[in-house]
Amino acid sequence: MILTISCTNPFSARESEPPSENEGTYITPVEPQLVLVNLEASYNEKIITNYMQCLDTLFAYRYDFLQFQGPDSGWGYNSEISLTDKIFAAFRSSSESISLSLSLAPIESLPDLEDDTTATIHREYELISISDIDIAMPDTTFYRGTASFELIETGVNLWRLRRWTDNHASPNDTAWSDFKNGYR
Amino acid sequence: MHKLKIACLLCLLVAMPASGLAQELFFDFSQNREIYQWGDSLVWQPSFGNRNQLLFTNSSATTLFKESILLDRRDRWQEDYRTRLEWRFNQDSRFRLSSVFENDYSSFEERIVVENSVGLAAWLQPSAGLTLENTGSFITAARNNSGNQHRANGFHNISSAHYNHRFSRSSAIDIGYTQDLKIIPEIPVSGFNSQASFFSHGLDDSVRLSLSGEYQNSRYFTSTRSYESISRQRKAATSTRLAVSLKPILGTRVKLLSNFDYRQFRYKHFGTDGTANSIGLLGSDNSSRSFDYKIAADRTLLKRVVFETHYQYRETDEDYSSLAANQKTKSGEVRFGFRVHPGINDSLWAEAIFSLTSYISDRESSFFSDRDRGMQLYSSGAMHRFSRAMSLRIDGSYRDFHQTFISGSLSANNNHDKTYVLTPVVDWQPAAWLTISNKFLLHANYVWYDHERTVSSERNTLFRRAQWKSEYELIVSHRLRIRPSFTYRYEDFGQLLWRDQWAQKTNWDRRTSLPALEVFYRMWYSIRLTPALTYERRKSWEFVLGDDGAIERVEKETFERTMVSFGLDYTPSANTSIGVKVQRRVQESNLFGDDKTNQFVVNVHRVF
Repeated sequence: MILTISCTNPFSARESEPPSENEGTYITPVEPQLVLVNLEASYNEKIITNYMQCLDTLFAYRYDFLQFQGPDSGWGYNSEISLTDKIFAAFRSSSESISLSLSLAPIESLPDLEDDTTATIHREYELISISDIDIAMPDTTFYRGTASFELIETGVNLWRLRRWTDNHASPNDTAWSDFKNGYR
Repeated sequence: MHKLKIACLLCLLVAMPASGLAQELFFDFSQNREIYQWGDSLVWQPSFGNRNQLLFTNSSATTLFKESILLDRRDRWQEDYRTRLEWRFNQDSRFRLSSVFENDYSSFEERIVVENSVGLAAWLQPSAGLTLENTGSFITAARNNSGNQHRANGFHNISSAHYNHRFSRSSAIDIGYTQDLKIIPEIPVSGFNSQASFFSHGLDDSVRLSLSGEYQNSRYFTSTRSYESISRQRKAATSTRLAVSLKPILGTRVKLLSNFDYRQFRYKHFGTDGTANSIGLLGSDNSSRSFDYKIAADRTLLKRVVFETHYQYRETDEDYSSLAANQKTKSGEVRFGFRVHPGINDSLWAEAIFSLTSYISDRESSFFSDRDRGMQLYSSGAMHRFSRAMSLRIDGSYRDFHQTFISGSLSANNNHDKTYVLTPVVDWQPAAWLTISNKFLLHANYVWYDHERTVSSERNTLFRRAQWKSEYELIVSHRLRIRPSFTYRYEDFGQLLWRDQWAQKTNWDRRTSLPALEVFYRMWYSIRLTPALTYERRKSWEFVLGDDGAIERVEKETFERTMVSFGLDYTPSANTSIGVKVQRRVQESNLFGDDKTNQFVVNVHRVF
């Protein structure tokens, strides 16, 4: 018994169930634009591990202002993962009644800026949250604005998101940071 | 507002008298296409005689999106300013009176928030180690959002006490308490925080313990667009920190670190419908706690070999009263490492790290998010100095991440991510004026999915890179240095197939050449010029199925980028520095067309 216990690897993962649903989308981020492809896919598929792989460990999120109480000017990697985990869990667990979709679009006047190991990419986004999707008039909330992404090529030569700045379209519109702040 | 501010700052930069205890100015400006950003930070602290002192601080940040696409091509302004003016009268070394004025200004388009305060502060040191401080202010707050205005006046008082006592040269205790009371109609804030810490260190051992607690009761407008709904938040938090270093036992040093945190938030909502806003968990009662500890040990043998190891454990727990949001985590990590210097010209090191993080939900309805993330890392390196002028260093590492979803709804995404890296570097200085560095890189990243290992899956991939960079540094004179470099890179990417061993079905490959030149020229002792030129040419090919059924390698993209930059650093004295950088970028691609960009950056720093 002692030999059996001593041979057990304490760092081995738990046994998993066989797959019952389709797999998600993730492309090895050999270019900075692929990080945003993965980020958009992880949001639409609600797969937190794919989202985590988009972020650098020194990731920082900044915003212009929050519609609701927000004493800080942003947050870091751990908070971003925690709140996104809650978002994905909330929408997955109630997928019959609520849905969340994201679309990112390039901005013609702000093309992507790339250097050898850094990149700055701007995207216009629309995040749509729908409640009561099974009734005739579902409650739909739009979150719109522009997002500025600063990416780096890490020590393992793959791209990650280092800094994300969110800008409201106008003071009266709700943006991505207001949606995220709701899960902090 | 902003033009006036820049003019005032420039006047201060030129005319500010060089006296006082501490005076410092930072100013930064950058322009990239339609985005303009500038900000400043100013501290000015002149003294007037032995007893009177003025403290002026100002910080600001402004962002302009010129002809923003989000505002029908109108300019989009955002400004934040914070100013504080304090006049201090030092009665003696134990008592001080101050009058304080503060202004906070924040605006975004037609949304403006301004808060002003005027008050008196007293600082007292009745005995050694004990200080008492109190600040009372009259405050006014004004909010304006598209014509929807709200004004309020009130009173703000902050009281604090701090005690510090040193028992001996090596031990001390520190205790602090602060009470904050803001009385303003509809949105008052009250709270307190306290902290206590103790440390003691001997020749070979030490201990540090700190405790802190915080409580706050605050009300705030639930939305910035109306002032009818108000929410109340009650926040309580405690934390404990412990760090112990023990006396070496049989030559082994042992350290223990431990932390505990607890936070609780309670909400109540008033106003038109008595409920919080409808987004997510905002305004929902919640609590969280975390605990972690780390045990580390190291030992040195024969003054040449160092062995190190540590074990680290952390667990967290959340309670949101919402089944989908509650989550527990547990993680453990163990590390082994050693460093050895066989001789004065050699060094060798290695380490191994194993870790596992488990995410656990407490209900069946959110079981889909249960997952484990395991990591193994092995790295090693060696360095040999052939002579004072030549050295060789080799580093290698292997890293394996394994992500595992426990539930069948997401287990199709379970995957291994393995990375191999090898980086030899040769540094050679054949002459005092010439240094040559050659760096090589071999990198391979394997990704395969647990349930698709033996099938042909597009998601199983292999990415490889080989790179060589040669860098030279020439010291032409004491004013002029030149740094040319050349980088050549090969990369390929494709599907990973299992045929009794891993094989790659290449999808694309690309080759990059990147010559660069940097110049550092000190024109005078105070002016340095840094022009630079970088050229990049990248060609990529993709592997497609030809008409005859054979795989063909077809050219996909030719990309060229030229960047020219010019920098000027002006340092007239040790107290002042001004930096200007202009960059022009031209890139051409047969796939994405051409693009030309200019960028301009100014940095100013002065200590008065």
